[in-house]
Amino acid sequence: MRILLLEMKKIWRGRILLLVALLCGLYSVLFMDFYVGHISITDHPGAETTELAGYMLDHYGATLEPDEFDEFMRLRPQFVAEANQYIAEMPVFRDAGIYNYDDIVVLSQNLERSEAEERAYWVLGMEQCNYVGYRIQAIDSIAENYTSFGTRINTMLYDEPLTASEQIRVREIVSLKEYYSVFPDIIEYTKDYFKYLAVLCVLTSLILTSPLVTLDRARKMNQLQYASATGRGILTRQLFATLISSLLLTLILFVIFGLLFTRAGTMKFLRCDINGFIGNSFTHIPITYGGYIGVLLVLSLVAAIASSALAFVFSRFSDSLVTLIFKLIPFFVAVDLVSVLLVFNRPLMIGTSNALTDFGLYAILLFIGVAVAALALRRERRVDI
Amino acid sequence: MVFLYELKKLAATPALWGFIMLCVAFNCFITITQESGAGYPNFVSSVGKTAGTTLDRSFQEMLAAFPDDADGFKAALQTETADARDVFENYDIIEIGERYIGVHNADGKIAEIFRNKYADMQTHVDSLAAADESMSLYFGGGTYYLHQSLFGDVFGRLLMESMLCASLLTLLLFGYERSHNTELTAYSSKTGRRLLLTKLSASITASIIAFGLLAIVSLGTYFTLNDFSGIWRSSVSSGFNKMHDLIAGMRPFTTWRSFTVLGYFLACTGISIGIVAAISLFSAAVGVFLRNTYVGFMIVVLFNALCVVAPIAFSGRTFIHYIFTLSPIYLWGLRIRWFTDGSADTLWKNFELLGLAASGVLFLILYLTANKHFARRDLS
Repeated sequence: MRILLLEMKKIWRGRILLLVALLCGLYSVLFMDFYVGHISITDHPGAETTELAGYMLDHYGATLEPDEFDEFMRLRPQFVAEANQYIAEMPVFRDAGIYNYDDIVVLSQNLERSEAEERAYWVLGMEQCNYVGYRIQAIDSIAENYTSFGTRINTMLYDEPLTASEQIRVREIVSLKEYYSVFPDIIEYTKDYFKYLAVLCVLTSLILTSPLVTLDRARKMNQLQYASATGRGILTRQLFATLISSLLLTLILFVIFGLLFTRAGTMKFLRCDINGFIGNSFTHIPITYGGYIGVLLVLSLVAAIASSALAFVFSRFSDSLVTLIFKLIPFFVAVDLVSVLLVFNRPLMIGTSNALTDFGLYAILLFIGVAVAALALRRERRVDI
Repeated sequence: MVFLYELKKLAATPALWGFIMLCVAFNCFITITQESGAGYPNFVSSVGKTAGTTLDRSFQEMLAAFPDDADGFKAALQTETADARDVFENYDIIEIGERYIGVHNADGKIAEIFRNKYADMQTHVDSLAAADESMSLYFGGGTYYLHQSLFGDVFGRLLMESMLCASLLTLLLFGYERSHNTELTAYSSKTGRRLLLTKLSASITASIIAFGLLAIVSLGTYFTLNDFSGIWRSSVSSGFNKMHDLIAGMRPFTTWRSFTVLGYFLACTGISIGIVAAISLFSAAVGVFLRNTYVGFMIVVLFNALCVVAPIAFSGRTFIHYIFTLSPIYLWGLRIRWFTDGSADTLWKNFELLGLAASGVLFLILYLTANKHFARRDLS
């Protein structure tokens, strides 16, 4: 135990941790902040749809029954009244010959608008009109999705090349009324955010844990270690230290980036089934938003630990830190290609993924990682130095 | 002699060769598996060989003499070239410059530099219009895709891999004596600490050689699948070639000088070599300052990441925003706009040359400072 802790102390060096923290900060700005902002601020009328889904959750719970839908739709006349008020007060509408919301509806069907009409058309969706134009678009879209869900499912069944089990599952979403869920269409952004988190977990795990064995070998410490009472058993402890460190670092990143993700304001939907009527993505199994995030986190954890195990093998066969990096870069790219292009593409989603492939690929990666590390340990025990 | 020994150290590193081979395999795999749709471009190239690349009456006559093909390539090319017009005639690039100024909400000196840049470009555009520069074949309707694929995708991969390789082999060489416990012997020899200069020249040479190796195989594979032989003499500012950004949309590909496709390719290769050398120089400075090569590589990566993040953090109303766009990694990001006006991302004309020169000077100062620091360091 004492040796394990000492090995972990060698891994968790202050200077490397500082660099990892800086890297996480820059990476977050470059790749992850965009998705949080996209859910909550920049995507219209997506942001308004999410806001209305939150309203439904607060007032009717995680599902929206038909009678509750009728009540919810009473919001629309209120939005239209609010729009009419802005139209009456702002000269930009008068200049374009617009006197109420009905005129805007007529204008939306006219593709040849004058400059004044074009300006008036967009102003209603802007901040100075409290995004009321987008709120009306959002509520109309929600109503359309709710009332035509059956038609959408039929179209999906006939038009998309679904397997027999996928067809059964799609019918099940209707029969079990899973689609009553008020979950908004935020799966893509969530999935992309956690995809980049998975890449970061792999990257930081590799940076933190991989130099352990290489540094010992570069300093010829391994011979001293093998001659000690612990002998070559030190390698087993080093492997455990590597895996535990990777696990700890990944969990820390989950906490930090999980907290940052709460800025998107979507955590209130954790209990909602993601196969709701608002979105267009349906999963192979009934699953809540919280459960889905949990699956993404487990996949990230497996990727990070498996990568660390494999990096342990690379570090065993590297005599300097630079040669180690030469090996880690292609390895990191390969893991990312598997993660980004295959597993995190649309995990668990009907029509684009196979649940078995999603988890199977990572299970294979984990198995290969640990098996190859174990083989390397076994070989090292027998090698004559 | 010492220079050759330094190169030999690198050549004797299997991991470096493994890395280069993996990069080559990756590039070839992507090139071969990517849907190139090369049938049409290869046909256009064969037309270019026979009929030339200037879209005039004789070109149309010679194209008409080509045998009809089952794929309809000839008919497609005839339609495209018959409709070709001089895209630079009445092309108001000053107005596009104003849009960029508006997006950044720039004023004062920044707006003035933007305006001067686009006024100069307008003069050049007018001369291009007078010379009918855009009436050139390039790859006809396939031009945008192939131009992006070669100068965006292939050069992008090639340059990124070369930058990584340059950084790592430079750090490897500068950390070599320490990792092999030969530091005290090497620096107490007659060459002494001047060895660093030899290491620097060896690193830059090796980086360029690595770039060359990667380029020969990767570009060789690309050019085998996509025949450019008939269009090398075509103008890169052909009316079929476009550049795209979110503010101005699609617009003619306009360079500061008139380039043939071959000339543009060679110029881009030159800039790429310059960027690789600059990264090697920066890595050398880091390698001399920091004795830990692992941390050194992290610093190189973090510096480049910072250069990408900084323009996002600083508004386009400030000079610092544009200064960071001159960094090597940002130049890599802007590779598809080299030798053009650079759109809203860059403030100065010839930004790629300016960036390269500025990076070179900055990294050289860093290196000399590191060298001076090293000369006084107690190694025992």
